[in-house]
Amino acid sequence: MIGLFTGLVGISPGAGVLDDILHLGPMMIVAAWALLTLVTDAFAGPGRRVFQRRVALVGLGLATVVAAAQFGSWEYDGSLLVFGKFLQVDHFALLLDIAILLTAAAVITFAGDFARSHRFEYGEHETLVLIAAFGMMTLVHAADLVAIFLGLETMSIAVYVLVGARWNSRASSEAALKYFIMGAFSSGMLLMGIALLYGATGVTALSELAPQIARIFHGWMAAQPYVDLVMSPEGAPLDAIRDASDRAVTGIAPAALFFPGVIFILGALLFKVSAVPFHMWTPDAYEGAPTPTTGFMAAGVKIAGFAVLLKLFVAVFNTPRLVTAPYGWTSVVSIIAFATMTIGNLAAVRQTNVKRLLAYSSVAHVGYLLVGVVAAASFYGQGHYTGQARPADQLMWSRVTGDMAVASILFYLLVYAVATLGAFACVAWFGANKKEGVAAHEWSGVGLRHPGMALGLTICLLALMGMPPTAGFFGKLFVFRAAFENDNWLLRALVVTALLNSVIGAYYYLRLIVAMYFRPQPARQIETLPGRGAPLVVGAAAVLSLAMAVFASPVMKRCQLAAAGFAYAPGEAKADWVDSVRARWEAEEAAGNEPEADAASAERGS
Amino acid sequence: MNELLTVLLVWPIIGAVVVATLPQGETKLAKGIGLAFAVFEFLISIPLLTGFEVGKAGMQFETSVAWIPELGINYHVGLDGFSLWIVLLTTLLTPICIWGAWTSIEKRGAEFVAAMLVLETGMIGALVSLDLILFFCFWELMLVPMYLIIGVWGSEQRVAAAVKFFIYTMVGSALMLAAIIYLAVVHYNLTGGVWSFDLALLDQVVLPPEAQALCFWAFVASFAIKVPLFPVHTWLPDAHTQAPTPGSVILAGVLLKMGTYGMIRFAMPLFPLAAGDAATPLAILAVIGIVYGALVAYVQTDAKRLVAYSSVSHMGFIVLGIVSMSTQGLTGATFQSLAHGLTTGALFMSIGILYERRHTRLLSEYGGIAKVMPWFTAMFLIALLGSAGLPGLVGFVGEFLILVGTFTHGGLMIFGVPWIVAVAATGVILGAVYLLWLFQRLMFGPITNPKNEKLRDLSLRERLVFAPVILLIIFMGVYPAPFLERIDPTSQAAVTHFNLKRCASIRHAGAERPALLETLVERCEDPVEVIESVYGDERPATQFRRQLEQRAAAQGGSR
Repeated sequence: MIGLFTGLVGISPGAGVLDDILHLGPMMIVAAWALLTLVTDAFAGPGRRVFQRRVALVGLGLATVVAAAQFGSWEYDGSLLVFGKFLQVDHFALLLDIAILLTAAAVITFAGDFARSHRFEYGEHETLVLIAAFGMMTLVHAADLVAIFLGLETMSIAVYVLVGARWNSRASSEAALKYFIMGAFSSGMLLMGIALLYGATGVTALSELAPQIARIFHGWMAAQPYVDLVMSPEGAPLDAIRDASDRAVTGIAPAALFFPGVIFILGALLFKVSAVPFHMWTPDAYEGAPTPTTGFMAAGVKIAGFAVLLKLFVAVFNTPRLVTAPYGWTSVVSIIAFATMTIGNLAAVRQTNVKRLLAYSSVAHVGYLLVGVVAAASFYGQGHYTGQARPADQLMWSRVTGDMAVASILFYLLVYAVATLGAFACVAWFGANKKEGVAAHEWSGVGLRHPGMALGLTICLLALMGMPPTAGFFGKLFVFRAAFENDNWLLRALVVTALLNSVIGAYYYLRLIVAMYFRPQPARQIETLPGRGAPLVVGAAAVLSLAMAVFASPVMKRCQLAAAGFAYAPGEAKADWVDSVRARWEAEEAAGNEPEADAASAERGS
Repeated sequence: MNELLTVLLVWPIIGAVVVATLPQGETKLAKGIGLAFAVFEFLISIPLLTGFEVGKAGMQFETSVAWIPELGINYHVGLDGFSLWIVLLTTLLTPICIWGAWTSIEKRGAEFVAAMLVLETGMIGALVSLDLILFFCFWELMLVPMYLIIGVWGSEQRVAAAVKFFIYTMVGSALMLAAIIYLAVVHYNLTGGVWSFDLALLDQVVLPPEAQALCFWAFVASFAIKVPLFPVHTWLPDAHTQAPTPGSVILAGVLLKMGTYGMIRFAMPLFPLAAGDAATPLAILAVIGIVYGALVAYVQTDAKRLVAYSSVSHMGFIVLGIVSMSTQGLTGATFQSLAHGLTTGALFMSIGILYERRHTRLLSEYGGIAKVMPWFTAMFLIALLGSAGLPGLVGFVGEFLILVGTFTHGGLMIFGVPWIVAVAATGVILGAVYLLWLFQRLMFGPITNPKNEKLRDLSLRERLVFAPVILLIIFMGVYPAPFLERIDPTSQAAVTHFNLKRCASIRHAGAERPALLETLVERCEDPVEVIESVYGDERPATQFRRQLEQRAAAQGGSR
């Protein structure tokens, strides 16, 4: 924390500051470009929509190239901590950086057209998107609770403005106000949680938090005899009771601060990813916001929210006591996952507004992702030293399976972001001149009039539905496989529920496809957005949705690299783990592309 | 040579892309190009027949390439006696459907042809996949084009029928996917960390009884909906009635076979113990389907609905043959799949031809057609008699094999075989009743409706479309040997393997943990004897359960 400020003003005596800035290249570029676009806006002139877009896209492209160059570098195998222990650079953060940057780029590609056509063009749009992206990147790079708070606020405030930016629409202002009030409340919850955690442990760095959790539990358990004495003090001398009560309080106090802290933080993060019952704002905010912003929220904010959820809950709060009943958060999150997907899907069935439908569908997807989060945490939870001797291979197993589960979640997030961006881009494109085609019946016959866009949207919807041969199927397959691998019938039942839920999902996604292809065209037709931005995004999303299925393997490999050693604190141990993973891959590659299973089946066949 | 199946899978997709990228309005050109692609696809598939090694039971034309090695998902395809003929049926029916739709599909012809070609890839892919995820991908890929075919080109109630079709199928496949994942996880744990979805490898897993039952019913849920088996058949009459003629032909001809094929290929061999326990209820459902389908067909006033219910009846025979798990039963089921595909396809085409001319399917609108459409009447009669199972035509061979196989060798699986077979056999008679009655109402008698007096007989194109199907119906009925001899070895091997694995499951039934088949094989020197000793020739499965529980109690007591 202090490192950041001293570093930025150049007081820090170490020469590391410049290195740190270079390591954070993508973030720094985005920050610089956010300021740059603010300045260039003044020079832009009448054609500023195109000009500003180009400037912003150059910056985002540059940042993406830098992030892509950094990704996979051996330097970051052990999670490099920068600016003290404030931020960290690792493959996980870099992969999500790329996703966030591309999301922002996609949004900027068509948001300008949308704003102009609906008459609320304003110069700061690109700046706000870049600032929000900077906040998201802070979140995925965060190595400190304070960094999480700062990142979340940076992102949220920019997004509040983006939601309310459509000044000529009442719905937009209403959405912004709703989102802001709820968001501010959840930020307060997050801050409260962080404060409680700091009170309990005395640290804010994530890497130092994990050992402190063990200490808290230890202190709590050690205080138990004193608690018993205080609760039933028959016959004990007064001094002993007084002493016991002191010891009991000092022993329990950290735990008494810690658990509410965890719950507050969990609530705040679930709010940001809009899980039930913290989802109430989602349909209104998604509906009222300008559609490009809705896409940005559905893709970018969720990526960042899940990144934090993974960093904090899966990688840190994964001690056996914290992931198993009665103090475990996973049982709560399992119930939330069940409620989220079921309520999200059931509510979506009744929607006639396409934006609200997609909003509820995004809620449902959060439910599926939370199943994966529970699975990943459960794996890591089984790999701790708990007093009784555990075989080394079980520790190994827990790490391997946990990493795989995290990789599955990352894959799902990427696919979901691509497909949902494509869908919202298509919704944004359908409508012009202050007239949006968001009612489902207005989509009648679109398949005939605009076959290309309809096909693109259909592919994106099939990906959201989880139909093969789109990548959505593999996202679901990977996440649900991870959940199934836990030898836990509750989690398996959750997976079956999720699969049946995806049938409900199919029903309402089909309604859009039905409207587009099966219904006759209405007499009064909705205009479409001028410009090539939206079709470009829809086309790219559709192609990616299919390509990520055919080339699921290379994408998954990158997710696995990003997730390798996820539960390790930054340092040598993590670097060793990642190196061993890489070595295994290289050995596999050297052994030929034929996988082991294949050779075995050939043997049996002959 | 081994890439032949891959070519078969890719070629229709190329065709679909070519057709879909044609400029709008070029309907005739699109149909022509699509037909050329489909005919060429059929020609490519002929080497499958000539290159197929007769008497060999295992997979042929096998190819395997790693697809997602992280999870052991492979592109693994192959062909054996069960799939060979249905693949050929698919490649034969697709061009026939496209050509048959020459005049009936007018709006958006290019999209229609593209959907048919994508559907063809999906069907062939599902038939040749030897990796469960690959199979699932193709299984779902079939769904989307069929949904579009029903929904875009269907009759008045098409949207409801299409959505019903889609949702029914998705519910089933959701459960199946859960079972597939579970099986792969078990395999992973048993082998110490080998991820695989390969059928040959997952087939090595022997699950404990409860897990087998759950997984078996999850698979059967998916397949029974597709077949469709009696209580979940309700989507079929709607889908058939609303679908355009080519859609109905493909639906009846090939898509329904996916359900029975899936049972033969996946559900039965993967979970033999549960299959044995479930055989009796499934057989009863199949028989109910046979009789119920026939009776309901008899009272239909809509010709297409009548044929649709006759499908429910005929598919019941196929399911009966499968659950009997006898060599004749499996061979007969596969043969009957072909027979049903050809005859019902031809019946749907006939009704499509009438519908195209008169725009009604109501039986009361017709009568005395034989006088004005002699060619049509002849074609229709052959297809109809084939469907009714007249000896000398295709339908007889399959039904006879199924009934004989079930009667003689079904005792290991089904309780009360004679009764079941007796009731099923009445289905043959009922079939003759409703089909002949259909024929009488359409063709004979005076022409009561003046609109029917000027009906055109079949054009040359229509006659050519019918010709291959009608010739096959006769040829396969007179000389079924070349067909049967390619199916039989596979059936024998399947039954042997099934009994071995069922015996291994019995040996392993007391354990809570799954095991690998190879560790149990040595305890099954004579599988049939073991199964007989436990199940008896005619004993209900519950008795076996009781024995197990007694044994477990005795073990617990002695400890």
